[in-house]
Amino acid sequence: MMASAAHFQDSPLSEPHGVSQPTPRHHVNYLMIFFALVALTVVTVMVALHRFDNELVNVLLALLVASIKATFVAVYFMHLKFEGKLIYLILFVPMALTIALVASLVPDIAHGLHHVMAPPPLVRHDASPLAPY
Amino acid sequence: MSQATAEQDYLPEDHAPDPVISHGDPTPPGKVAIWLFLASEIMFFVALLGSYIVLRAGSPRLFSAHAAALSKPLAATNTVVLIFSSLTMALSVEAAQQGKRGKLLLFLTLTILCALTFMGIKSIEYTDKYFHHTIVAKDGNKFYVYDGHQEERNGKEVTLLGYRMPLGDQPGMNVHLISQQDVATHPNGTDSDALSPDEAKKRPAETFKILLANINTDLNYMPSKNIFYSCYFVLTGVHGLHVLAGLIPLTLLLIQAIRGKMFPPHTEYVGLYWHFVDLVWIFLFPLLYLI
Repeated sequence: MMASAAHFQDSPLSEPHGVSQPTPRHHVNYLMIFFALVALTVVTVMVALHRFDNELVNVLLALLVASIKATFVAVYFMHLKFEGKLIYLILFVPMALTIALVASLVPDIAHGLHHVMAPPPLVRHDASPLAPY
Repeated sequence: MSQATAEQDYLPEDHAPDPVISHGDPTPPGKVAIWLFLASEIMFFVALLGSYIVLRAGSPRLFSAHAAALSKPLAATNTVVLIFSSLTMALSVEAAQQGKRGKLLLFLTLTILCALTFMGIKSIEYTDKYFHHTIVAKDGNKFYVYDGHQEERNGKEVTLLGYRMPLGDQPGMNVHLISQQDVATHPNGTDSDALSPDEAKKRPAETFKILLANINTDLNYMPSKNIFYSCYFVLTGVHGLHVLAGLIPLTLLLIQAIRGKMFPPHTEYVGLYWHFVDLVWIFLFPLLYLI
């Protein structure tokens, strides 16, 4: 069974479908990726402790670090680096929809942010303080 | 038939090379199936996160004030635990593919232990919230707002370790919005300025015994407290259910490995699910605890 694989080694196009070489076990150094992820987690916490004045910067920075970690997990742990086009196609749909959802929410969020610059009061001036909740 | 397709019992048909699938071994149906499932799971969590985005935008100060009260160390530990479990899961997949039973047993066990540790830490967090109360009650003639952790409750009274502030100078104060820090930073007398958060941290928590008969409102930090906790419990709760659900196939694989049977493709698919669960937490951690 394996001998036939050598016969087709020269030209990839001459491989009949189904009779191909054994899938090479792509080697990933999982331990290194783990250390990188732990380091990025430390970065996440440090970035969070150093708050910038602009809230948007805080949020985007947190999401950026999270996205980098997510990419490491997806590409190396989930072996996306070695997958074929079909898997990328399957993943493309939710990724596109995620971006579309967040983008479509921006007008709602941005509009609201103008009005909540002042902190909302803890006080409600209408109800009695002892009104049951 | 190549080794990879043979072990997965997948016989590719004779046809022209598919332009979508990359040349070489066709993607096994099991892998396509698990990725399709993960694609739908991504949409599930994105739907919840979309709600979170809109709700947070409506009450940004509420969200950051209450997020500050959550335990960052516990959540950071949970993040590292889950990342470590992803490592052990990837190593289990490698062990199954190499046919190394001992290695597979070790790493599957470690993955399961990490999952249980994650749920354990989660239950510590949830229990802490369950026993954290905001109470409006009378002491003598005056009404106070108490906020703290319940140490004891019997038929007569409840013992709370925390802070209190007098009610009355804020007509219409809302117990749902108030946080422990709001109560702790409130000046005791109406003449003094509010304490700074640092000063409030130094202010020692006191133990109050509140008679049940004097209680007007009693609220604990559950989803009904306010919209932040609704989001927090739904997002982390649903994620926790995914962790628990993942324990089932992991345990099944472990049982089979103990019996001497290894399933490399199935282990890989369970691994993909497990990495996804880790991925979701990687996003939830900063969104709920850090920003």
